[in-house]
Amino acid sequence: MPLSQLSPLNSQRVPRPRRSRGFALLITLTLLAFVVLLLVGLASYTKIETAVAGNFQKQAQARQNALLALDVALAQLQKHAGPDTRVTATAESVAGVVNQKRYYTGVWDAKTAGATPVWLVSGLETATAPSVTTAIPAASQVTLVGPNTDGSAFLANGNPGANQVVAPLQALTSVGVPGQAGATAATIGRYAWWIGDQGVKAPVALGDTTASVTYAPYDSDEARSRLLQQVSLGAGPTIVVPPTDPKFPIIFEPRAAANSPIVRNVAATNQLAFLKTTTAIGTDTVGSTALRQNYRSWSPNNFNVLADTSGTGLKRDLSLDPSPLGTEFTAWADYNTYIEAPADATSLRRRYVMQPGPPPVAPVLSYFLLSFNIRSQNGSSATVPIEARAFWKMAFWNPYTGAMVPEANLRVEITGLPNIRVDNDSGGPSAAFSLQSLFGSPLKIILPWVSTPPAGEPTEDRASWLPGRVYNWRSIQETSGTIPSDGYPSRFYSKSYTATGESNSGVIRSPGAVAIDGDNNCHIEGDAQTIRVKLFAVRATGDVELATFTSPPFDSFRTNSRPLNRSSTQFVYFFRLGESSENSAWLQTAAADPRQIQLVPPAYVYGPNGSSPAAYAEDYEDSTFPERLLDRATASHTYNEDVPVFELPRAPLLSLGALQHLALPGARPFSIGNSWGAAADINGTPAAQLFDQFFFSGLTPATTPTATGSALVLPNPLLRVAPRTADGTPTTADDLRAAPNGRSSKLLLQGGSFNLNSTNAAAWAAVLRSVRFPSTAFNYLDADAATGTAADTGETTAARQSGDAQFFRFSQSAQETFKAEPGLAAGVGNTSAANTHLFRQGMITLDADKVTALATAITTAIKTRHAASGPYRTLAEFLSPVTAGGTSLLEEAIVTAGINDSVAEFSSQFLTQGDIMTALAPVLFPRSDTFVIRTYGEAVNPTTAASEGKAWCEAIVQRTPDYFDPTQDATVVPPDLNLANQTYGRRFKVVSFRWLTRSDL
Amino acid sequence: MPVSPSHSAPAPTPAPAVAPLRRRGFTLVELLVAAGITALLAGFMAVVVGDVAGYWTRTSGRLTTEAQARIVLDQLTLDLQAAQFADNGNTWLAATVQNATVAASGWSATGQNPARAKPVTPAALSLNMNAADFFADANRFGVAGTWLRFFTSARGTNQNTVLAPFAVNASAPVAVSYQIVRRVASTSLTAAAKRRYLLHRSQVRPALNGTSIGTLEAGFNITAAPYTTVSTGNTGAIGDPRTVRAPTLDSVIADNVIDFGVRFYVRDPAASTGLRLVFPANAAGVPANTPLTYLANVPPGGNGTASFANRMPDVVDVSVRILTDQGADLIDGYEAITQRVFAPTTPAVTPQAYWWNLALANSRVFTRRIVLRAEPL
Repeated sequence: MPLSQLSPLNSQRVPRPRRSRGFALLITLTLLAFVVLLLVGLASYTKIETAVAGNFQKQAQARQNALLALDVALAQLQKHAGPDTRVTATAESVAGVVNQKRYYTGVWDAKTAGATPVWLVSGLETATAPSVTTAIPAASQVTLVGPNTDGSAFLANGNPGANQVVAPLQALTSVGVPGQAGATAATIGRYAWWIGDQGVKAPVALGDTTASVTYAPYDSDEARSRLLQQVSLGAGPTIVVPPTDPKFPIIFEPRAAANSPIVRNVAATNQLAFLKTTTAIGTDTVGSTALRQNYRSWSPNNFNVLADTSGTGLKRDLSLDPSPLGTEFTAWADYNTYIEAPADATSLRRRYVMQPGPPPVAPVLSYFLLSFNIRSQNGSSATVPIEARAFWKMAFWNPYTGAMVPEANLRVEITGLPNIRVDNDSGGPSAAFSLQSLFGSPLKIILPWVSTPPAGEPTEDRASWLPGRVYNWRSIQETSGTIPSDGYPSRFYSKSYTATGESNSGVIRSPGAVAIDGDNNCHIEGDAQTIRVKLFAVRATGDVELATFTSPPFDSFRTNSRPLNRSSTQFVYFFRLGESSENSAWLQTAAADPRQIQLVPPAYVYGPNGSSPAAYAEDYEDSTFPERLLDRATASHTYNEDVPVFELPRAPLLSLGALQHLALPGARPFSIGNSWGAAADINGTPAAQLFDQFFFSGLTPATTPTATGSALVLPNPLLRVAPRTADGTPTTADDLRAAPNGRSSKLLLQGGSFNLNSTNAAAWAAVLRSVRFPSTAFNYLDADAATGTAADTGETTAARQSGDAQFFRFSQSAQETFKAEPGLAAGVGNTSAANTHLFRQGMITLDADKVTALATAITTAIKTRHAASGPYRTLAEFLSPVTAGGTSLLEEAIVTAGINDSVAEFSSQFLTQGDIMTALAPVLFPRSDTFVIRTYGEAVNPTTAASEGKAWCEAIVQRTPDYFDPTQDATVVPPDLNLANQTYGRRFKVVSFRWLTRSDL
Repeated sequence: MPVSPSHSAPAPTPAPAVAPLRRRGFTLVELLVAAGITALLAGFMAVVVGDVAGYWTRTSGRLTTEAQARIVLDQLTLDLQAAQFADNGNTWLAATVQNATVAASGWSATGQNPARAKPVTPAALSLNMNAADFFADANRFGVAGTWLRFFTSARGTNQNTVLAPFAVNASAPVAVSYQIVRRVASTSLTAAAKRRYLLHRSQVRPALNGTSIGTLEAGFNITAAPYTTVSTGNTGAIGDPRTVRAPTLDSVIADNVIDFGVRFYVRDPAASTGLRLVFPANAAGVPANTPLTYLANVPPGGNGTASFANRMPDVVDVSVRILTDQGADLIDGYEAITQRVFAPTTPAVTPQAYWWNLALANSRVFTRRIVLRAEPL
């Protein structure tokens, strides 16, 4: 290289072009790098977005798998639980059940005793039916009910806790998946499902909706308020905190004022946490902790199709068509034909017109005493004609909780008086004659009614024959010598033969001309007789025979010999109603029902001296029996002596349990609903089966319900009327009335329903609290202790407010007879059998301890039953004796819980199964129709088998009256169903759906 | 120019004659060639960079809009699949094609020349739903999209902590509302702040929290007053029922959503597809611009009349039109033009139509068909 080229000048000049070229190269490279960077960045961005999109896709796939599981579950539910003849229960009581399967729902065929159940969980759709006694491998199960649902904890090793629910995973496979050889099936996803039984939980989010029932006969607050006591209007929630708490305290009250504005909006279980508490549990709301702990006890509401699990189709509405139960029932239920229209609809008092029936409405002869004195005329010691003197006392009892319209005059006609012979033991003449002929055949006695209050009791109500009250009459002096055509007179409401200033020598008749020395000793013999007393209402339109009362047979008798001139009575026909003091099984034996129009022994018993009239000599006239239930005092002026026992309808019936007051010829009282009447024949149907086949909507011909919002509200507000008929038009009362065979149930669902096969004691406790008065008080007649009751008008009421469980014997009329004080009959603190308050109040109250005890006893017995032979298949089975001649499960539970231990009498304080069924009959079913389905879906990488997406969802499904194949009407009975409907039954609907997160489980 | 020797070095050999010429400059031809090559290279680079940048813009716009759409459509799917209805006379779902901007919703007109906004005149045409256009990509749902509100079951948590009150986070029935509101996407409300078209998803809290009411207290009638007006315990704060009408900024689910629409269908065996369009449609089920509001208070099965009006849909098609970021800037810039002379024009195209064309050119439409899962009892 030339030196000149190495000169600084050259060295400065020569690189210049090089720098220029380098700069361009640099620029170029920079730009290229920038472009590459952009491209790389874009590629990365795209890759990230693609990955994100892939995740979304996998998640979407998982959701689709969850929805697939939902569809599978719904199909299985339809297949197995769609037909009417299925019952459901949980697996808790199955021997050897795996812990995490205890809350599987089983479905049993109700037509076959001891049928094998199917368990509603994933795998049922496969060839291998799920079992509850074998555990699922950990890798093949998924938890669907976990700690965030039921508050239970996972085990230390991470396995599901004992109370949780796991379901077996089912693989979703596909062939032709990239990376898989040929026809190899690769797992691309998994799913699981579980169906929970909502019906075994108590429906606890039901407020007081009776305010919506505004039409006649409920067009007054007073009438409306009685709805609360007639049927369950929703369970009263109890709580299990902590789970080992020996009793179930009340945590919230859906009917409380604080909850009433919002409880009607509660449709989901989680919303229960938002209701206001009644105690300090939580802060001011129930809260999620309590909600989780009671997941298996609480449901917002349950609905059941009104269908018969024994296979007769939809239940028939006896309010619309009472004829299936026969004419006796039809007449009894049609109370408007024999009840007096109240002058004031708000009055607590209702009065019934006496009639022979059906149904018979008449006072019952509770006490009968007819005594005779055969003496010389005027008691003379001379030889004079003999004369016969008669004295009588009679008491009649109103056995009903409603008042009766008093007749101005009743008349009794007595037959069966003896032929007697007066044997002269002193050797003189004797005489023989017929007492019946002497006093009349029949012996007629007028029983007048005096409406004016007695002296000293100016406010006593004698305008009505008061509920449960005994009125009495006695003979007055009558010496006319002729037999009055209308009857002998008598005095009203007196048990003493004489009153102030009154002379009473009795009713005197002379048998003839035979004269006997008054100083002669004579005895009297009479033949055996049975006294019959016919009761008539004396009316201007003609006398009406009301009833006949027949005494037990009296022996032939022979009186002691004594001077004929003595004026004391020598023999007495005395019998009385065999109530509690004579018969500890009063009301508990057949043929002793005092409402029978022909009342015969053993309803009546002899007096204390037995069956011989001669045993009641020497002016025997006892008519007050403080130890007895009836006829205790001289005059019954106080309500504390009233003994109402039976109820007559005064409003449309709403519960089959109320039929316990229906008199069945020849059957024990209170047969319907109690185990002893399970087999009683009701127009060809055993009484217990009524509960499976019939129901009351309250939609009687005189009832015209109105709509609230878009749906009709029936007298039982928990009966949900379908808003629309099949053609979409709003459902009207006429649509219900037009249903064939009274099957208005095609358009109804029973809200607040409960599966009696529930083994959850807290749920049972809540359901047992279905009738209570936490916010709307129970208003009752505030009777005056001194005078009996207040007058028919201007009644004053008293209120009783309680959240405790109430079971009504007098579900329609307890207001009228509620007030009573204990101890008046037999001393304070003495629960004598004669304490009428036990009969009078008409309801029994169970506090939390008793409810807990009863619920525990019930569920213990149900678990035993489940383990032995599966769930109850019908209500009839549930209500019938467990063993022939024994008692039912409920009755056993009542005994076990000691509910009646302190009640010595079969009174309204003696809790019976019938009382429980009065409250619960509308809502008890042997199966559930509301279920919750939880499903799980998972997207699986077919190559790595890794889980790439998970989703959970939950649906509430409801069985409806419509058949699966809607071409057949819901009223078609099972034998006439087509194959599809025989197989799949009635249609299930998804009524709510939600996606879950892991933190929901 | 001669160069002086700087030292006593041997006399240099004279440089070749051409060397000074090369040092002095380029010939014109050289310059022209060089300039040409440079221009060619620069142009090439500009094209490459521009293409890459454009590709970036388009791709990022596509990815951004897709990401937005996924979020929106997935959430709509979850919400609508769990939509609730009861046949009790209440309105459980409602949709309103907003034919005018609604200040009450929080709509900001700042920086928006009404003449250069989404077509509003004639009013009926703001809903571009004529039968002929039904299947076109150019469907337009009002000036402010569709205001969709209904009741659903929120995806929440059963866990209850102090920080997450159950009344707020429970998985329980809630009211939700979807609507587009043009507003500043931040709490900085300066006049210069950019207004964007934001799709909101308001979710009313399940129940009372402190003194603030929730869905349980407001009730299940989506047209009831608590969902549109301020009341006690319902001021319009996050989770208040009032947010169904006036969503808070926290409820934005996607930005640059220039249009949001729904189509409601009920099952109809008489229809060729088995589905009958009930909204937006006329009584004959033909796509139509009126009525603009649909209130679902009749069960899908109908009310016994031939009318399909007011039925709760069985199937819902949802669509969102999402602007790219570039499109959002273009729309923003176009709306801000107040002087006609600066406005780009297209012959025979109105400014509002131009706005719409601009939106069409810089947005993508995403649709999804959603089947409602629950049936009314």
